[in-house]
Amino acid sequence: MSSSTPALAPAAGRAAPPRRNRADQNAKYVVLLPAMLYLMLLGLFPLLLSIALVFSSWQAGMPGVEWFTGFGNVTNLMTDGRFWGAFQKTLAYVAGAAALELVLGSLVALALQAATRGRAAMRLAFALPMLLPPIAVSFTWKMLFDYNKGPLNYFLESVGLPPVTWLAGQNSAIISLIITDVWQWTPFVALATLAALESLPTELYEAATVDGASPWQLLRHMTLPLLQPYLVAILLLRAIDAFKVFDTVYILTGGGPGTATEMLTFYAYVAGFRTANYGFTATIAWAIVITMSVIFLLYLRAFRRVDEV
Amino acid sequence: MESHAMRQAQERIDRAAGRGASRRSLLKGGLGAGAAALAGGRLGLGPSRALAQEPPRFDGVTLRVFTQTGPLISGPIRFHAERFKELTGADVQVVEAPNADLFARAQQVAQSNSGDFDLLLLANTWMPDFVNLDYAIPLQPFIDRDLEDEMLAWTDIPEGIKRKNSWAGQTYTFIVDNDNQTMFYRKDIFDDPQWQEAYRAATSKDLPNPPQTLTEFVEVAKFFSPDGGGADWSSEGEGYGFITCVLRGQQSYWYSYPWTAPYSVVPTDRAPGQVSGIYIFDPDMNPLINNEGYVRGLTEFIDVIRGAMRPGLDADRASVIADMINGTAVMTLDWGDIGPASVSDDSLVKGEIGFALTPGVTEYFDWQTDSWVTMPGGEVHRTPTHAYNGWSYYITSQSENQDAAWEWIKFHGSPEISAVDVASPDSGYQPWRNSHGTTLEPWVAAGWDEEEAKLYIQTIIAATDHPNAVFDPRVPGAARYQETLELFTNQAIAGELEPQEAMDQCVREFNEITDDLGRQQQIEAYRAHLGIS
Repeated sequence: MSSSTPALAPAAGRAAPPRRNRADQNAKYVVLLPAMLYLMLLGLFPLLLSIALVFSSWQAGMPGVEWFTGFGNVTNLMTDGRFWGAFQKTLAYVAGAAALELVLGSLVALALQAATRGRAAMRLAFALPMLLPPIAVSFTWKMLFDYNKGPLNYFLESVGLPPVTWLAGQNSAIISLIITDVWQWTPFVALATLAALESLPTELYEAATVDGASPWQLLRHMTLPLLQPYLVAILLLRAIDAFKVFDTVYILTGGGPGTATEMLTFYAYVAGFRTANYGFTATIAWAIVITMSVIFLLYLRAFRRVDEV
Repeated sequence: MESHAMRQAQERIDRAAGRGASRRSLLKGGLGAGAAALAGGRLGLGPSRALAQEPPRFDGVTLRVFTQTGPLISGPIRFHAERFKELTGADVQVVEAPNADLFARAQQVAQSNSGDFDLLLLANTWMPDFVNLDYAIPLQPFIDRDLEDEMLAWTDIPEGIKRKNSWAGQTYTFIVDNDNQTMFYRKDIFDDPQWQEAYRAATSKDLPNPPQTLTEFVEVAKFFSPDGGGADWSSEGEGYGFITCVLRGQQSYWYSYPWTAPYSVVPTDRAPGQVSGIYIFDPDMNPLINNEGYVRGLTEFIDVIRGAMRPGLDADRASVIADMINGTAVMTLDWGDIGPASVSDDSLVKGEIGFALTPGVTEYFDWQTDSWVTMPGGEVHRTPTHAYNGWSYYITSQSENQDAAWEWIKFHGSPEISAVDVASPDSGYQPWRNSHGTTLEPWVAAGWDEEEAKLYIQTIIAATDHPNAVFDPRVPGAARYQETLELFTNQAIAGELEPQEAMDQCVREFNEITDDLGRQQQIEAYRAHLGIS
């Protein structure tokens, strides 16, 4: 049918879209419908289901879900010492890993910026660890940390130091996880910081140098203050990522010894996949989401400051 | 993935029977013509009906089996499927999930009454979950129908296996693997007069060969460790008296069973209702794991870990087997896999591993009277432990091919086929039929000495039929209790909590789980597991 049929044209006033355009517009929605359904099924449905599960009971041995049984899962979570223990350990892990990565990454970035030759090659070399899959990294470090046959203890003993129970000590296990994370993700911090360094205005440095500022003064009074918003953003980005740690815990320690390295994500995994307590698992998952959202809001605020700078 | 070693073993059997060893001929002649020809007569079964008679045809049927990711456990299914198709026309497909995710996946399958599977080959301990969800059907009608069938060979199945197959007086599973724990020790070390003399010099006692009690076991284990008098026994590097699995999430709590059960299980003839296996819970689902007996066993377990095991607290299940067959550990208490592994090509200790029931105790804690009881006349009280109980077949209620599924179970569990599987180090199955102790050709073909194979099998069957044997509790949500027990056992091993404190906390968690799942339902299920009303 032609859209130029005069009889169908509006008599006066604002011109209505031609019929063909309306058909096109409708066709657009029809075309989009499969994608929207797909998104609804794979995104919205699990999201809503997980919210519903927080207030429902679904456990091993039950014939199905008992919907909307109340706040039992939330109450259990709030009074669950293991959850709060996992929460604290996760925070300790995130703080340790992210802080170390920030310090080391910044130092590496400053060194890279100062380097006059081979910068591209060095950047590539530094980037390699973060290109590896976490599973491969975990298995590699598992071999390195092996108490009896691992090279780390071999080197310690060769210089007269006692071997360390890297993965079996209450404190050393979480330190081992932090070392693994730092090894893999410091390059990311270094490269991101280097990008920030290179975006700083050079004229300020030129002026300060002319005024006789020493390199230390430049770093302390110019570089670090200018970098601060970037560093905060990078720190929060790493914190968000470290909060989700699972692969390394699963491979290196299995949450042990005892609960020494049981992070929130691992606890959720145990509740869901080892004991099939899905309602409780959903509650842990939402606790993680809420915590992450808070961190993300902080990140956005930090990012706004970067924009302002 | 088909097991190369199993195929080799099968071919060796076939050669020994005077048949061509090609894969094709093996499958043509089949496990029936190969293994059964050897086994026939010696089993007292006569010619196998399964192989002599025409089995029913199921042309066009495809059986789908859900089990753990191979090659262990699922490998034998694939290995035998081709022969089954030739016999019956039915295809057998395997659907796998990683072991760590198996329970949750199985729960989802059962809760959704999935019609995707005809058979499950899963933990025996999960039986109540599947039964309560009406997902596993009773096998008794099939058994009654085929009671005289020599492929089923019902009288060849030990009573202990039949008890593990039943729950609430009904048979729901068919075990094709026997998961119980026995003692493995270096008999060449124990038989060596040099070490016997050294032990006597160090302790003023004779070297028990092998240790009969847990106390003896600990003393011997410490002696053969770096701080003991017999530290340099190993020619393969630094040796230790003991090895066990201590890593969380690696089945480590099951390794505590042989230590805690003897001290906390009342001998059968003194137990309420005279049933075996009152362990972990009393008949009213009150946890028994924080009583003096259980805690003493756990304390000794931790003591031997700290005093006689390689340092580092990083040994997983694979390390236990590896340290034994690499010749760096003298003793362990483990599932039977060390037996076949000890004769594999990788083993440095071929013919040097001894087998015995797990050590016992001379006094135990009676939870009924809350007091210690000394065994009369220095008698040793043993309680062989069944951990996981064994990989078991279930037929699903949603299967449209239940007759074909049963035919597969009979085929895979037949004396002839199972004899090949249990002799293979690559199957993950341990002996579970009486005839496995007499059908020794597959064992010899796999590299065993006939007498040693016999002793190994007899030890496992003796643990199975032992009057005081305890089974892993079979109650709904068993995996949740297991995960909790593992956590607190691991915390005690790691020194995070004292054993008593750890078990007290575990009891609180157990009670919360029981209340959460419904105490009355749990009590009824547990009593069904025990076989008491």
